[in-house]
Amino acid sequence: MNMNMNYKKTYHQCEAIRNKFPVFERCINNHTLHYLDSAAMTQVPNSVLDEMKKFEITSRSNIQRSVYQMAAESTEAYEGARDSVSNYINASSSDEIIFTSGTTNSINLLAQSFGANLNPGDEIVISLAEHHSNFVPWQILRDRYGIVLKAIPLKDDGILDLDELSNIVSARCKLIAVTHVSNVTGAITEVARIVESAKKVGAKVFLDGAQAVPHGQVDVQGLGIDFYAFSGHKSYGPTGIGVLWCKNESLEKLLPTNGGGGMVERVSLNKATFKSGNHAFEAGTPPIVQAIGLGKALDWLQGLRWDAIRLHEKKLSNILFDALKKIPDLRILGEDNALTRMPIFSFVLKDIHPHDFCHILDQHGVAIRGGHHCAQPLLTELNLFACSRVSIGIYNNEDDINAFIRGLHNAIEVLK
Amino acid sequence: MNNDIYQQDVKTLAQNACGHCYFSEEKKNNSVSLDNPLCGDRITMRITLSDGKIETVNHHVKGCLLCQAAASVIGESAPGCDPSEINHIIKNFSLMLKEKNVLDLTNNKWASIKSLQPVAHHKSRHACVLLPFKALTEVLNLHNNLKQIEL
Repeated sequence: MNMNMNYKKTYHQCEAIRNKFPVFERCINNHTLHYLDSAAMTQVPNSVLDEMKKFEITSRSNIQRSVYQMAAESTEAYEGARDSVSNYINASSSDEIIFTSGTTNSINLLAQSFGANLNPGDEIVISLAEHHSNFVPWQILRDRYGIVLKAIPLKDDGILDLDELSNIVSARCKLIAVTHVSNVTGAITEVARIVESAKKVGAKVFLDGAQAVPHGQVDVQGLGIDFYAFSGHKSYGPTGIGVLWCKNESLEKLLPTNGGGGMVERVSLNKATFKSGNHAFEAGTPPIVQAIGLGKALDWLQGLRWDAIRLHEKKLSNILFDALKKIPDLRILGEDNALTRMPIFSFVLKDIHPHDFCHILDQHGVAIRGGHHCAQPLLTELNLFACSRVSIGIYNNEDDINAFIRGLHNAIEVLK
Repeated sequence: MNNDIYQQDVKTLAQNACGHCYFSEEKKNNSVSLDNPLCGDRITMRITLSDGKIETVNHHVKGCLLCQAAASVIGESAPGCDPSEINHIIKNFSLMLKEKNVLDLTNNKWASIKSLQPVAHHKSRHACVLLPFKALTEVLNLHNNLKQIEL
């Protein structure tokens, strides 16, 4: 493997990261596993698995309900995870963090809660590049309550056409809800322009951060937004856990959507009074060990050398992008640039269906996703119904990219 | 490399696309469209019946090679069959996928369906080959309902 001295150190740091993920010890179809589907689900490092196992063995008990030692430990660990999330996204307080079951659940919670304060005719602006999870909850709101739903159009390459903002965001706009990073094109949204446009009319801003958080710390205060959501299973943590961050002043105005234990102060036959703040949104026993796992994952991520990881990601992105560009009849979605995006690369091959393509790749031990990526409005705009996607995580290396390239050539040979 | 499901006979079936057509809005009358929610694939299918038997099958597939091949098998083999024969073949084909059985074919007309047998070992692709058969069931039901309305 050729590498200059500057990159050599980075390479070794990244290989050390890979070694912390036990999944890479397994083989797929007699090949080393080459996992390139981190945009759908990241793998979990040993430290997170160990932390969750330790909790389940030694401290498994319900939170905020009992005075015995194990329950106190459990509550402390759960609230400690909230602190870890708060630190990672630079929230002003961990009281602004609501644990959910994932980004989809976070957005549904926001839609129902924020929507309860809206009037028919009020407007919510999304974009045509959204994941279904930031599309359908707002459509439900529109269809049930008469909210007007508008969408920011796309440019030819599938990137948000923010020049249209002034035509779309009106005085009736109450919220702009868009993705921070596209799960199809990897495009990074120009948040400042969104925020500027929203603030002009007094609207709030929500960002779907599911594809941003895995690629380094986020500064929700610095972004100037009001709401942010992401998932544990895309951030090197477990499944079944997600986050909705609400800026304190916005959180105060939200109404609870789910009732039950844990979110009330007092209940009588005629009335229930709710806890204030984030606890009003966590009815029932929450996903405790999942939250602890997410907290550990974010602490671990926060301690990594992100300058080295970004350098490594760029190197892999360049190799991949150059290889894709050399294939005749292959169309890369998004900007014609490997480095102005997060390392997510979707593409279509003329006359080869993504499912057939991904099936052949699996025979090489290469795991990539083919399909509509829960972004059918975006694909429809691009005149497609499916595409293949390679998404790079912090554990990927050149061997993974080279295995993909070998599989790509073999798939063309088999399927053409 | 085990690319057993992409043997030449499957590729030929897909390429031949027996029964393939483009549906104008007019032709969409009495047709059914079904989606594979996993990948967004879609098939539109229309049949004509004569004396209780399928006379013609037309379909348009926006889908993978396996879905195209399965639709082509139907386009090639379904004409001349009555609904009970269709139900028999669909039942056997589904069972073959589920149990990895050898297909029990009583009718040689459907010999080309054997090309799809290797798919049984790839559960994630069952939905791809079943989609055209589900469409065939739906379009037969549609005709049955229309017939009852006429009566």
